[in-house]
Amino acid sequence: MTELTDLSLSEASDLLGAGEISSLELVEANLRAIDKTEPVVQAYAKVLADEARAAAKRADAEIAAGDRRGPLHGIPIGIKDNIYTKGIVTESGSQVMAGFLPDHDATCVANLKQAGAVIIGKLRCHEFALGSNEPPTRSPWNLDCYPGGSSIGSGAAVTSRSSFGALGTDTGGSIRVPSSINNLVGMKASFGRVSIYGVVPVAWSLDHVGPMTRKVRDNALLLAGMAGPDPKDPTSAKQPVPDFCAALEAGVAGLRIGVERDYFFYDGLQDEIRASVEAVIAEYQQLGAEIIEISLPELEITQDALFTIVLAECSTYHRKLIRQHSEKYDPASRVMLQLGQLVPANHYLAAQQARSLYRTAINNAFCEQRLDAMLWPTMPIATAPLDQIFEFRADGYPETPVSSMCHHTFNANLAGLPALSVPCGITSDGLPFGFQLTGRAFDEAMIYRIAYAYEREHDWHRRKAEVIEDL
Amino acid sequence: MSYGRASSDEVLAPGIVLALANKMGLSISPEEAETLTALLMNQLAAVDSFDAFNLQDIVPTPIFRLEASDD
Repeated sequence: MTELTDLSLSEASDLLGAGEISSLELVEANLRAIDKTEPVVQAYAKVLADEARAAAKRADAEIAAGDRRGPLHGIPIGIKDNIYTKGIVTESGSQVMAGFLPDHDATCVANLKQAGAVIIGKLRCHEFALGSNEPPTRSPWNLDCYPGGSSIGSGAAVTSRSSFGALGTDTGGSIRVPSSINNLVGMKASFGRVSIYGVVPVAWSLDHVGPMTRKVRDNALLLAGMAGPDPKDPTSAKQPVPDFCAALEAGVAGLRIGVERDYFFYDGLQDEIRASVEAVIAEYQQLGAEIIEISLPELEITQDALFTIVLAECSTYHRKLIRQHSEKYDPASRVMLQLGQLVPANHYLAAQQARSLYRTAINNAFCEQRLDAMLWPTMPIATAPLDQIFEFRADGYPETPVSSMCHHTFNANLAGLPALSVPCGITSDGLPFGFQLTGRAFDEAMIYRIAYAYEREHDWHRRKAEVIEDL
Repeated sequence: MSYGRASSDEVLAPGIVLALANKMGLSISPEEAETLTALLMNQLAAVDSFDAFNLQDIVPTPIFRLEASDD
C-alpha cells in the first residue's frame, strides 16, 4: 500500500499546502487502498471514483492558482450513507430508500464541499442507523468481532486507510463506539454545533453528526469544516465556530478533570480497560491536571431514558413508511420500529423529564466543581464476537455486549454535551479501545486540547491492523 | 435500555399485542407478536427506574436549543 495513505489528514493537508503532493495523488492512493481492502472490509456503500478524481483536479487547480480555501481543501473524506449527498444515491443502509437520489446536500456536506473537501464515497451504516441489523462491513482489527456501529463503514474506512477522515452520526454512541473499536478519534460535538439538516433522522432530539479520524488535530480540522449555524435546522445553535486547534498544544496544567467511578468504573468494566484508563488519569495528573472525584447518581437512568426517547422518536419518523414498506425493512429494524409505535406518550415524556434531570445534574457538576472536562472509558468492553453481541457476555457479567457498548455513551447524547473518544490501548487479544472526554457545552476546543496532551505522548494513532499491513 | 433486562409475557398476552398492532395498521405475524410482546414488557418497565428520582415538577423539553453554560 502506498505511503500516502499512512499520512494522517492533517499531515496530508500540510503537504498539500506546501505543494509537495496533490489532491489527485491522495485520491488515487485512497482508491488503491479501496481496491485492496474492500473485498475484506466492505466499508463503502458506493465509491465515487470519477467524481472524486474530478473534484481533486479542481482542487489542485485552485490551490495552484493560490486559492487554497483552507486545511480541508483537496482532502478525501467519506460520508456515512444516511447523510444526503446531492445527486448521489443515499440509501441509509435500507431497501426502503433503495435508489434514492437527494436533490440537495446535507448542510454538513455542503459545508465540507465549500471548504474544498473531496467526497470519496458513501459509507455503510446499520439500517437507518438503528444498530439493529448486521451489515457486511468488518473491522480489520478483528474480522470476527463486531466492528462498531452504526457508523460502521466510517470506522472501517478510516482505520483501513481508504479515507483520510469520515463523517459519522451519533444518537447514542454511533460515532464513539466504532471509533473506540477501530483505534480512531471520534467526536460527538455539542447538540446543535453541526447541522442535522439533510441527515436521515433516528431521533431528532438526540441526533448528532461528527468527524472520525486517526488523530486529534485531524478531528478538530474536520469538525471546523462541517460545523456552524444553519437556519434550515431548528436544533442548530447560533454559536460561532472557533479555531478548535488554537489551544491544542497548551497542555493540561491547572485544568480540572472530573472522574465518576460508581457508574463508569462498575463491575462490568473489563480489567485491561480499567487499568489503561486509570493509567490515563494518572498521566493527566502527572501532566499537571487536577483530578476531581465526582458523584452523578442520575447516570443510572440515562440508558432507559435514551432508549425510550429513541423508540418513540424513530418510530414517529417511520410511522408512515413502515406501514407502506414493512417488507423492505430488515426484521431486526422492523421489530424495533413496531415496538416504538407502542411506547405510551407519557413514557416518552417521563423519559424527557429524566433527561432534563440528568442534563441539570451534569451541568451542575461542571459548574460547582469548576470542571474543564470529565473522563471515563468510551466503552466497558473492547468489542465482542459478532455472533454473541445479543447473548450475555462471555466473561460472565450479566449484561449483553450490545448493552455494554452503549453503557458509557448514551449520557452525552441526553445532555447534548460534546464527547470525544480517544485511543488509549489495545487488549492482549489485539482489540483497540479508547477513553472518552466530555466537555462543557460548545467547548469542544477544551476536550481537543486535553486529548492532544495525551495523544502526543503516545503512538496509538500510528498502530495499524495486521490485516491492513498484509494487504 | 432493555436489552439486558429479563423479559416476561405473563402480564400482556401476545394476542393483545397482535390485535393492537394490527389495529394501528402494523403488519405483524403471530410469531412476531411473541417477540414484540416480550420486548414491550421490557420497555414498559423501563420507566420504573425513573422512580428513584423526583421528576414530577420537571417540565419536559424534547427539542431544545443548547446554550453555552455559565458558571
